[in-house]
Amino acid sequence: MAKKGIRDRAAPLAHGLAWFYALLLVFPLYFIIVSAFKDNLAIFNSPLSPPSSLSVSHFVDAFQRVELGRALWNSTFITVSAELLTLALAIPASYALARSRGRIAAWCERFFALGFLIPSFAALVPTVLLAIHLQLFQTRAFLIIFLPAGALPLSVILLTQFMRAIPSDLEESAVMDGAGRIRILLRIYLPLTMPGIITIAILNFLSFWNEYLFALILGGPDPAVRTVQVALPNLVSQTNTEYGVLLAGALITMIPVYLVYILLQRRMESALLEGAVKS
Amino acid sequence: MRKKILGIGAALTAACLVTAGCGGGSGGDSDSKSITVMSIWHASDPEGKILNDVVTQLGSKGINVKVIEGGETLADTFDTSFAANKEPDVAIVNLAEKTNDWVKNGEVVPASEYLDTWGLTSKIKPEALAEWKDADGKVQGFPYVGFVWPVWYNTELLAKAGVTDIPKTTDDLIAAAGKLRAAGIGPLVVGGKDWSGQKLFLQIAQSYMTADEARTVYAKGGYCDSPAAMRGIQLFTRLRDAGVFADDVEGLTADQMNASFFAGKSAVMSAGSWAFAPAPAALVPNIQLGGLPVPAGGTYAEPTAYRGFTGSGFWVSRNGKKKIDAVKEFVTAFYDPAVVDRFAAEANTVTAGVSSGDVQAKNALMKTAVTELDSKVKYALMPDTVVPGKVADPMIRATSSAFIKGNDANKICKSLDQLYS
Repeated sequence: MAKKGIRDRAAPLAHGLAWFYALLLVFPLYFIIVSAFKDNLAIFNSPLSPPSSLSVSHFVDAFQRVELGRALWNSTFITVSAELLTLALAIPASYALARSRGRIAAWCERFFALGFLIPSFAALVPTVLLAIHLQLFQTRAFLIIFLPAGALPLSVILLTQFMRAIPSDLEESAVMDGAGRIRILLRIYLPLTMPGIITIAILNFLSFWNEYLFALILGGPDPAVRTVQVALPNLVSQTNTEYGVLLAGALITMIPVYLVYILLQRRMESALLEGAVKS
Repeated sequence: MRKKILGIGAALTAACLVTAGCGGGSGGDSDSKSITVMSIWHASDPEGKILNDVVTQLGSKGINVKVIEGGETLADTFDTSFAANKEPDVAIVNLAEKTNDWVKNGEVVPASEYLDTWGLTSKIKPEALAEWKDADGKVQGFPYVGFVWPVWYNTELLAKAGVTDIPKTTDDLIAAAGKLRAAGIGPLVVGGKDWSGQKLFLQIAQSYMTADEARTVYAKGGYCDSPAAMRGIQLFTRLRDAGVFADDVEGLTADQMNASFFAGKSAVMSAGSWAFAPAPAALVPNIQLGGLPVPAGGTYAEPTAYRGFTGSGFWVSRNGKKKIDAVKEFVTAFYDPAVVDRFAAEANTVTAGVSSGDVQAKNALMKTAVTELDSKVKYALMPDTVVPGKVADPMIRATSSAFIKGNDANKICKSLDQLYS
């Protein structure tokens, strides 16, 4: 009874803190959105006030000045290709690691975990040298090959844990029914580990889409190759940056991230429920 | 912060790769009439529009120019591309910081090799060529866009605070700052945490140094050992502690400086001619351009300003040398007096190219700067061509902390000298 009383009294505080946290998250977004419609003077002198006009000229300017349409296409192409390649490599690798109990498999798993120990900056110079020697420097192809290499350790480790959670009885039953390894992977493991796959897909999408340093160095500034993250900073000028245009450009580049997140989040929730029922 | 760390990462990578000299790859486009130009000018800016017009004209002559906008990371991108032997044939970028080392690193071909044969020596102002010379006397690139960098005074705000005359001495400036603060108006605003604050610091620091002495100290260090440099730094701390700089100036950028001055929150700022165009039209009649007040007994008898021709210029790369005929057509096109005139009239720039002589800037502030500034100020040594490339970036962090009260002259000079070791 006393515990319930404490809980009741703490509820408004918890609600208040939750709303405060939500506000903290929304605040930067609000700032970006209102600033995208203002000029520099208004942004610096009254940063939180709503804009006096809702003209979309800054969005048009941002889109045209740094060819954001082309950059969005490059980002989409590179991100989707790298995502597919990552999943195509991580899913079978995880399945193999989850179901193997030998010493070699254990070593392989540790080998993947070693990937976490390599800081990305440390890999930068050797990666550039590799790209140069492969004649793939400043090409989209190299980014598509390289990005999965960085994402595989986390993807494989996480998926392996998801796959280990699947009862081995299911696999044994399928084997008795005559199913091969590939069929077991596609028909049993893939559907049941969909929440994990979707989670990894979201994480990788965010990581690939927002990649800046490697995309700048390995991809370069040519509009034929550059991604949105490389194109966007071109709206920054050392002497006269138009922050309204810059933030409008930033909003444009954020839209695909939100769309993908919303889309995959629903899939993840439904897959989670589906998995719960099956198990 | 993340972008800053990433920027440093990009710079380090570029530096490692350039130092390693890992050549290889196939190089640029092998067509001798097709060149690639990496430019700091944006297509939407007047400079970018003129560039595109020149490119179109060259196209009709059979020379194809592909323009890539390099943005603020141009120097890093150029360095990395150089390591892969894929650098653009021409770069259009300023002479400062990293680009100061390009000739020394063999990344570009000195312009000295072509100035006479291309007939450009007489088409470029001699003072501009002098600025672009390195320690070995080689002209590093073809200078093009210059600037003047005065101190801006809002006469309406000064009058409101009871300041009737533009300050000419540092004592006048301190007195004016006190009156402005009493009236609730910000005094001298500057981007304390970026290059604009660095330049103002170095402008004050050379108050007691001759140009030659400042050149030596800025190039090699030795601030603590130079009595004249120390007097200049002590003057800086005196101005800072007297409240001459606007509040929290150490955290401001050049863009925030402009916004503060343009909004009438601060009465004085130190900004270059690139800020003439964005100045609000209603404010322009109240703006008086002048110099930075000087101390009694200092090197300069009049307030000081900067001017220079290091704003941007043309750099011919190792790949560009292989297509030198097309590069020549491209570079020389900009020194045609008609194109120089367009830069003065449309882009409101001071150009290193010799104009036809009958063109005037449309911008009122630029007109004033061109016609009146020389009589009001002495020009201090512009540090960009003197401070070594590897020192320039970290120096901005050191000068930023100089704006924080409590850092005395000894601490500041030591932090500067450390950068050169």
